[in-house]
Amino acid sequence: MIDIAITGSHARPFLANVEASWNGGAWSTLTTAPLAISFSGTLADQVAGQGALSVRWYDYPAYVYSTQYIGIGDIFIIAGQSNAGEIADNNQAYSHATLKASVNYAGTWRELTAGGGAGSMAKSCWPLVATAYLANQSVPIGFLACGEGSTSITQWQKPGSLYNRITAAKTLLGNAKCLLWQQGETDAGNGMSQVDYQTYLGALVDTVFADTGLKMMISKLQTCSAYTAGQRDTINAGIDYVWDNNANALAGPDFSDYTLTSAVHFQTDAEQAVQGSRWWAAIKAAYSW
Amino acid sequence: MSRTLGLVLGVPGLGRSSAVSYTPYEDILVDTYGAAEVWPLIDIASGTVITAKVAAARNGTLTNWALANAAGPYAGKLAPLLNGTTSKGDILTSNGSTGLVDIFNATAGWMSICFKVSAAGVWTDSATRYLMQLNVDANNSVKIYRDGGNNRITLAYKAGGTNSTQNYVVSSTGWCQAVVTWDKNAGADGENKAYLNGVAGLTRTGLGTWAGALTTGTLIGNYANNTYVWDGWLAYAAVGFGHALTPEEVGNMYNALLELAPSPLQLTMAITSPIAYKVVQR
Repeated sequence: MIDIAITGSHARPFLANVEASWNGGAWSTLTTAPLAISFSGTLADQVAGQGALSVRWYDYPAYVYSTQYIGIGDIFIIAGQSNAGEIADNNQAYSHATLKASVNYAGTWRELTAGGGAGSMAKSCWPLVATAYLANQSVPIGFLACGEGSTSITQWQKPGSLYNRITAAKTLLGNAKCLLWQQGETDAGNGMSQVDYQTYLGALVDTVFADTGLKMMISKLQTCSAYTAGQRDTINAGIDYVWDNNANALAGPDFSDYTLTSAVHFQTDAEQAVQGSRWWAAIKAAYSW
Repeated sequence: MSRTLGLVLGVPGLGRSSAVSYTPYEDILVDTYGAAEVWPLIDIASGTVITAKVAAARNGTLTNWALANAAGPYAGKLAPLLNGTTSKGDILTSNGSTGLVDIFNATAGWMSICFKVSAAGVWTDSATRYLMQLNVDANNSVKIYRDGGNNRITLAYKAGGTNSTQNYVVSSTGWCQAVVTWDKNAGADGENKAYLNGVAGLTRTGLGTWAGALTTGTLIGNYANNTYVWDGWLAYAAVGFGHALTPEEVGNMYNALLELAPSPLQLTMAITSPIAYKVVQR
C-alpha cells in the first residue's frame, strides 16, 4: 500500500477544500493552505496500478483537473557502462494495451518512447524489458538510468560523482525496486584481476545497500573483441563471487555465452532482443514472478 | 445586515441548467458581505446614470463610457469600457442622510472593484490610472489605482496624512478583483489590509486619524477631471461601512464571483506534482 503525495495550485483562495482521487478511487480531502492558492496532501494506502490523478473542489465537483498515467509499480535504477544505457542502432519499443512504461530523465518523468527526446532510453533494451514486465506484472514500470560509458568499477566507488548518481537517483525517486548493474568491459580490457574486481564490486554493493537500501542485480560480461576470453572470464569470476557471497547482490543475466557482432556493444536489434530477454528473465527469477 | 461565513448557498456553479436562476453578484455583495452600496456598472443600456443597487440616492453619473461594451466577470453581464483619457464615474452624493457622504465611515469599512485592462500594454504604459477613490483631500482618501510602475496595482488608505499602501504585482488581462479594508480600532492603532483576487497582502498598522467629509474626487475610473483615467473595463464597485471584511470573507467574496463565472478558464487548478507518467515504487 503506497501513499501518493500531491501538490498543486488553484484559483480559489479561501475555504475551498480540494479533493483528490487516483485511478477512479474515492475522493480524499487535501490540505488547502489558508489564504493561499496552493494545496497539498496525500492519497494514502493506494494499491499498485495506473490511472489518472484528479483534483476538484469539494463544493464544485463539476470541474475536475486531471493528470494522466500516474502509476504505482516498480522502478529500476540502471547503472554501469554504455551497455546499460542507450547504445542500440535502432529505437526499441515497448507495448501494452493500457499500461505505460516511463523513464525519469533529469528529474522529469516521460514515456519510455523514442518521442521522448534526449534521455528517452528508446535505443536500449529497457523498452523490451518493459514489454515483458507489463505483460507479467500488470502494473506500470519506470526506469532511471545513470550509467556512464567506458567507466571502471574503481570510478564507481564511494565517495565519487558516479556513486553520487546512484544515491541521488534513490533520493529523487523515494524508492526503487533495485539497481540493475551492467559493467565490467573496461576493467576486462584493462586486465583487472578477479580479486580486485570482486573487491571493488563487493564494496559497491555494500555501500549502495547501506546508503539506499537497494540491492544490486549484476550481469556477467558478454563475449566480444574488446577483451579476450580470459579477461572476460576473470571479471565474470569476480561477479560470480559477489553473486554467491554478498547477500545484497542479485544474480543478473549471464551473457558470457553470447558473442556480439561489434567490438563491445549490444547494437543490433537481435542483440537488443537477447539483452532484453535475459535481463527480464533474471529479474523475473530474482523476484519469483 | 447579516453576514454568512462560508460559501454562498444557492449559487449554482458549472453545469447549472439554463433554467436555474442564480443570485446576481451585487445581491451577494449586499446580502452576504454587508455592502452598504454597490454600483454594478454592468448592463447599463444607455444614459449617464450609474445605478446604485441599495439606494437611488447614491446613483452616480458617468461620462464617456462605452456602455455594456464587453463581457463582465461572469456570464451574460456586459461591463463598460473606460477610454483611458476622458472617462469618469462620479459617485459623490450627499443629501444629509443617505448619500455616500452621509453614510461613509472612516473608522471601519471596505471598498472593492472588479477590473480588466483594455490590453496588456496598460500594465506597462507608465501611466497612473485610478479604478476607484473615496476622497476628502490629499491627506484623507481610500483608493485603488494602478501606479506608474509596471504591472502594479496599489491599494491605499490615507488618513491624516498617514499613507498606508500595498502594491500587488499583476499582469493579468482577465478580470481581477481588488479589495481594501480599514479598521481604526483593530491592531496597533488601526489596521489596513489589501487583497487581490481574494488573497491578502500584508497587514498595515498605525493608521492616521481621518479628517473631513468625502468631496470632489470621489470617483470611479478617474482621479480628477480627466486625470489618471482607467483604461479598461470595470464592474461591481462596492463599499461597506462599520466593518472591515475579514480575510475569510474577502476570500469567499471572490470565490462567489468565480462560481458565477461561465467558463472553467477562470477556475484554474493545476497539479504541480506528480505530473504525467510518474511511477511510484510499490
